[in-house]
Amino acid sequence: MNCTHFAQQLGAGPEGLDEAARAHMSDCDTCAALHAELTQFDATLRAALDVDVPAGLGTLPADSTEAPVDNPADNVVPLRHASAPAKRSINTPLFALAATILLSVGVFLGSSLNRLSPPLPEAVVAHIEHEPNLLVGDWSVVPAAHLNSVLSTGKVSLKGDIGTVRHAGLCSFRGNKVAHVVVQSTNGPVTVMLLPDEKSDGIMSFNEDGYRGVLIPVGEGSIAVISDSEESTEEVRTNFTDKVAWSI
Amino acid sequence: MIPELHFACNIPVMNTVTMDDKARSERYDKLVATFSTDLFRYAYWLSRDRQLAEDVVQDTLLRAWKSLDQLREDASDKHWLFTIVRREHARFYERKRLETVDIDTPGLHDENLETSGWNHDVEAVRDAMGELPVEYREPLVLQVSLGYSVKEIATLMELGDGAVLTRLFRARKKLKTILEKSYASQ
Repeated sequence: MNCTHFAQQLGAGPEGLDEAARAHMSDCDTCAALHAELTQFDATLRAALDVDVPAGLGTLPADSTEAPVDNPADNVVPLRHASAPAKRSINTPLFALAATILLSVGVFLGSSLNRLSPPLPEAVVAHIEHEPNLLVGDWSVVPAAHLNSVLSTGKVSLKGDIGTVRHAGLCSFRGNKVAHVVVQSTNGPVTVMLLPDEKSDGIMSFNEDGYRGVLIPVGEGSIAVISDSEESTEEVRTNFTDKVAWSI
Repeated sequence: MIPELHFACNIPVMNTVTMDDKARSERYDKLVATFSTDLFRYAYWLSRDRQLAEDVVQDTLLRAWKSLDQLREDASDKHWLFTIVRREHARFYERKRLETVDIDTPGLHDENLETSGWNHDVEAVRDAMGELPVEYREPLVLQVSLGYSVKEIATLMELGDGAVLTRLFRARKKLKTILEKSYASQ
């Protein structure tokens, strides 16, 4: 180790020196002085970075304190806190009438909103973005028994080998439990969502929020293949399409 | 814009077991107490905008509440939360993809540090941090303020360990240059 190599290691963080660097420092007064100076600098930097934090972070809106429910419409994230409405006295007959009308409107709106759910590619990407770990993680291979269990619950049967599977899980997606697997391609992990209840009209490529993907119709359902690169998507698409069937 | 959540992932293959309300609240309170300060400081130093940082952190914690049954109460919780903050920041600035290929941090070769001039006051360093490009500011904040290891920074920023070390070195060096220029102009 020479002084240049020492300084390069020191510059990456005075607390992370390896044994060779520490040995060099004990023999070199110049480097020892630089270490002391940079340690002091980091202490100043730490103090500079400690900006004041606003009070009340993480306070939940009043309507969020119950456990989450399966209805996607209930899983909306408001950005700002809504203040609780003030309590008022209630005229019971009028309240009953109003409640009936509201209930009817609610039922109508509910059925309309179901028809207005986001397009499938958008919903798939939103789902992937909820699980960023799955695109960058470092996992071991999923045991066959677990994969089979996930696929069978997700109403999928495979006709052949799909390669190395790095993750297999069940997800709630637009009201259904679906299998979400990450398979290893030549260029990295690729996400595949197996959607037996999502019919698509034809093969559809999409590029949402930087995610490249393709929706492939399979019987009454679809497969969504998503990755960073077109090559990986194509590789997995080719490997998957003929091997998937629905066990509905 | 913050997207709606339309999903819950990692449902157990067998029947889902959910926490009761009290346990959920306690778990959430612990999560907030453990991470909210670090999340805010990370969000702030990414954007240098207190209001935006507050919104992003609030949204992130609310997502955590909604997904509490799926979080595992280990190191992956921390990674999940910080990744959400990072993605929301990227989304706000319409960066379509996070950095996945490190193209701007080649090795250090013979780059060196000057052996003097590292003594500065807190306010000057805080101002200088604001001028540091975000690709250098981010790893420095993660390391110095939030105690992230090089490996953790590499995972969060989707970089190699070597690239993170290079960025940390250059970040300190650039910070010193900014500080010196600032003093020279006064």
